[in-house]
Amino acid sequence: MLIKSDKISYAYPLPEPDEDDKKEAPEPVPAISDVDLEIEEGQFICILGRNGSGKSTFARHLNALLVPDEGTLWVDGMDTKDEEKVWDIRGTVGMVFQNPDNQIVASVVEEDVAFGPENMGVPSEQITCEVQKSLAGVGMSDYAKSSPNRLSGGQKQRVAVAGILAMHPKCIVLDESTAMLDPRGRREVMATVRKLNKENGITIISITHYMDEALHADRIFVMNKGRVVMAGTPREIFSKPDELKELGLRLPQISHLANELKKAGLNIPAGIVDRDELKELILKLHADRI
Amino acid sequence: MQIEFENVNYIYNPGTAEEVTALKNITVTVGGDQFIAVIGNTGSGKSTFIQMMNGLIKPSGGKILYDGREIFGQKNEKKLLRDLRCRVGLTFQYPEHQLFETDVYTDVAFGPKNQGVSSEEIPERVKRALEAVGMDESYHQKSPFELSGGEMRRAAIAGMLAMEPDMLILDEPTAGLDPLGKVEILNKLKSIQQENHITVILVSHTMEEVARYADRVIAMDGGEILFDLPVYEAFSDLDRLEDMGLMAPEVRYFMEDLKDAGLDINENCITVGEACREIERILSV
Repeated sequence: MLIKSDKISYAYPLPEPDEDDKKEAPEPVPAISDVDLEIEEGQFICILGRNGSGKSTFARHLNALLVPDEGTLWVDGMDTKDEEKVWDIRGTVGMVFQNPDNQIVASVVEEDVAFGPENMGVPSEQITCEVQKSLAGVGMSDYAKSSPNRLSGGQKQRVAVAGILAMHPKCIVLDESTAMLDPRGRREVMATVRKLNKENGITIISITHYMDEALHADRIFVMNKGRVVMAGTPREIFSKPDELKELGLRLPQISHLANELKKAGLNIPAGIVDRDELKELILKLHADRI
Repeated sequence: MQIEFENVNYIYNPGTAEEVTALKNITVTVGGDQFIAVIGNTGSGKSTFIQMMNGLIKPSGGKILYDGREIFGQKNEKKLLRDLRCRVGLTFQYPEHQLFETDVYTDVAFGPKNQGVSSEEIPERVKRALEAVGMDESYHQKSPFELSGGEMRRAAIAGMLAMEPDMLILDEPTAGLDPLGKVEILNKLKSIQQENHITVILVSHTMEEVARYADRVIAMDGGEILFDLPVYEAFSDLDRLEDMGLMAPEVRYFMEDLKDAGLDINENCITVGEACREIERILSV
């Protein structure tokens, strides 16, 4: 078990009230409540939910940027409350954030990727090798000597992923990392993390508003008002369109089309998540016509 | 309101090593009672193009006519530009970062006040603008920071609507919003466009949105307009989109799959509703 979230809750602290403020201090509202879930190593996980549903707050617990007020979060057997383990945890779980311009620190791509291992005290000969491998892993070897501000958004996000790879993570968390990208950038980043998941066995936890990015996940968690309200495979989750709609979510287009055809009376099962699967069903229905 | 571009060019940092041609020979007319989508990857020239529409960027070459008149180089250029910006509202990405007043009402009132709208008329304008984006009077006294992401975005759009522009330009107004938040904003924009017979120009990276809401699609690549087509023709040529690094809505690819599998089907369906009707049609015979 790579991640075990044992009933964790967290509320952002409120500012201290002024001394002469007669009003009673309001109770902090929990951003996440009793989040209980497990993630196996090597899985591709998607977390869906409306803005403000607690997804990002949960994500920030995964590499100990936040620690739970209640409950325990275990990362690869380490309790995130254990202050001595913080750097081990951050080496195990890396985070890619939304804005590509906010996470690059150096003026040359390879220096940016070297930043993490340098901080960890890795010997410099080894760093050179790590940086090369990491850039190759995200398809950015040709840009090693480039200036990051010359890169596109998708390329910047891939450099951010390379910076994490150089730390040999077991898990990468993408917190809406494609939200600010153009179609080309989105495709590049998604293809890169899928490859890292399949070929290197790195666990991916992707928080996204793009339902189609969730189609190929091993497992989906849906959050609402700080709680996990649905969990299952894409097929299980996307076979419940009404429930998703209640939660402010939508079906991916292929599942939506399948669902509309089903509603129109065609013999199509709920929870279609694959283009080829839907194609075969329609071809069969077509062939069966008298 | 009509804006005509005639062979417009734009070069950033001319004469330096950093020189970049952002727009090349743009000739196009936008305006009227239309919902127009502008698509293209980063660096395609989209944002330079839309900023020219409200006079924020002056062309390096060529001409732009605003309702038949030139603005740049005229004696009263400053006044003409001010008038133009009242008629053409532009919101950048993440417009909620531009909310700065202490409450929603004051923020939305800022534009018309600046515009010289009489103080009797302002309350009515603010109320109407907020209603148009689905925010009733209970929001008027709220601080912008009490709003959700989608509400902040809508309040920022209301600020522009209160100026009653003839053209509304929005750079990715749904970026970062959840699916419901996206639908709410786009439905509002569509009904504002249709009820007031104005022009809405939407820059979007989400082709499903473009297919569902736009009447016309302008696609840009490398500073040029690669095509300018009614929405039904915009996604007909999948290879052309692929060459530009763009995509069609997922259902369009699915219909292509069915066609390739030998079905006698109209593959150029761009929304779920159309695809559903077309599939029902071929199965019902």
